[in-house]
Amino acid sequence: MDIGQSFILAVKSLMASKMRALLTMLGIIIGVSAVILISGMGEGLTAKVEETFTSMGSNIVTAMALRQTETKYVDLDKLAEFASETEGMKYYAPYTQTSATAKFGTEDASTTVYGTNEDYASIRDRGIASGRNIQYLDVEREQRVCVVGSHVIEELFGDDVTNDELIGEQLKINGTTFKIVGIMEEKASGMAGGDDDMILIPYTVAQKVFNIQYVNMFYFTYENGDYADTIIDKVDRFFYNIYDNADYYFIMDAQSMMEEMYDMLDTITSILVAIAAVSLLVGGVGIMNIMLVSVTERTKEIGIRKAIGANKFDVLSQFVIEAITTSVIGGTIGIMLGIFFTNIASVILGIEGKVTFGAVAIAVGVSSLIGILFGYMPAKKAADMHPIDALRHE
Amino acid sequence: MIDLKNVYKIYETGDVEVHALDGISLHIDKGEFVAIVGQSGSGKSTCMNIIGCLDVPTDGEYILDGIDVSTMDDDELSYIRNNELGFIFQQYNLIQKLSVINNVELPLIYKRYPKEARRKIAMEALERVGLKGMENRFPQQLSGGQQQRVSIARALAGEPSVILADEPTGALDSKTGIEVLALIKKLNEEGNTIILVTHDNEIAEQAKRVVRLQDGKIVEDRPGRGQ
Repeated sequence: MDIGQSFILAVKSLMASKMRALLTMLGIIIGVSAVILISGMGEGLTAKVEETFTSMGSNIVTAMALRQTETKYVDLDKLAEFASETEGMKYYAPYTQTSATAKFGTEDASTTVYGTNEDYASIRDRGIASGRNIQYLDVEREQRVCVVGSHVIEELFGDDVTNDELIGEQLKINGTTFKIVGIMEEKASGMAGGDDDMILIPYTVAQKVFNIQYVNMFYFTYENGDYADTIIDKVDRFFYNIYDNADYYFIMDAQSMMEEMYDMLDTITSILVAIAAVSLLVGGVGIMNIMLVSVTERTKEIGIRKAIGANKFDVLSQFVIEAITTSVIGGTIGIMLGIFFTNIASVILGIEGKVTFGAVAIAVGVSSLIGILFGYMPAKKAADMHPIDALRHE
Repeated sequence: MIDLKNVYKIYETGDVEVHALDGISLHIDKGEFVAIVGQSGSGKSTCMNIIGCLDVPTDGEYILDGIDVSTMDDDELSYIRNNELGFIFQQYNLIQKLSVINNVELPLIYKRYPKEARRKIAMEALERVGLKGMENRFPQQLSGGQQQRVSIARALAGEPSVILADEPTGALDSKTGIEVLALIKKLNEEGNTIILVTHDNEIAEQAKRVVRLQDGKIVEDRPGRGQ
């Protein structure tokens, strides 16, 4: 019997009892759509993490001094010297981070104020839309100047003014007057608490205004990946020399954090996919169950076919193809549902889910494999029937 | 054509041996129309199963069309059934979910004929049994007589050396039974070898030769009235 004929026959036989066919396929449908959905969302999450890390800037090493005392503290002059003398070090920026209220006239906005130097914008990959960045002299001479994020501008001045008009305006941060010297390019979608909800001021000013004795956070970037290990190592040594104890500071680099994060995501996705795959297995058992029933029900038909000349392989292939057809149709429905649910989940979770060709290929492969695997046993039973006994069966 | 030499079929049930066939020798030539007749339990069904290659003898030799089939395995027997034998059953044994034409095509599918050839041969067979125009109906939509004609067409489609009819009129009313029997006679006149298995002496007499079985043995072998 040729494959096409068997396939048509199998579809006909499925159509003859639609409800049963659907229930048989249900396990496969759920399993495949779950695998598609989970792997799709996993891909999406990985992409999102990558995007986040990239927007944070790559090649960044972050150091944090957890406790500083009069005898053991980070000397900013020494640190600047260390940064400029270290080979492969590109940018260095100390920074403080404070929640504050910015005021212009009667409008005010809660935001985050970063006290830092001229390299901060480059490190965080922030462009200046209007005016200028913070400069070395601003830091040295403790100029009360600020570079403002677009969200804060919107909060304080509304949409009606152009950025250029605002350069030179004064606003108050926690009561202290600052001159706006620059406005940052919009980066995120301008949401509160996002990258655009911030103000940069010289760190020397921040220390005074917010009464911060010690700057405790530091960014370093390296020229390229070749320097990563040596820079991390040297930064670590710099801080260790201050404290003689690794517990008082904390160093992390975006690259290795990203890799760890990927590993973790991969593991989580794999585990979830594996759990979903169990339902594929259950679906396979469901198919086997129904195929066994079907073989018993159709004993007479098998007898007729064998009497007329069907050999074992003919009968075997008929039932295996029927099982494969069932599971592949179920798999196809599962793929479509999986893509559908991935799109819905993407909207709900705000993560762009990606259904990869690989995931679909595996789903198709696995569902036809299940058809063969779980269809074989019942089909073998049918093929081995003795024609006389089978014909006598009513 | 058919040569049974000292054929035994012995079933063992517990300690008791049942000799369903007890040393049967039978020769049937090409073109014959033989009725195998006997009471229930006479061994005629066993005989028919062995002639039909649905079963193999416990002992003895069965030569069909020059081939020794008595020691063949399952798949070899399938091949012989497909190529040498056509069956007409009492209960028609059509596959209900297949259309008339698909039922008739079935032996040709297992012969691996291409689709066009299958269709052509099956249509000719349906025409020979007078069911032209019924090819797309389903068995349930036909009367008993018509269903039996479909099964005859199916037997013919395989172009067998021997047609085996097992109580072909058993499920039909007498009028339809006579029609079907007439059709079987006609097929014999066209040159087909026919073996008809029945318990009914009246029907057996329609054949050209009557072989009577009793207790697994041939007790009578004589010309029938159909001669």
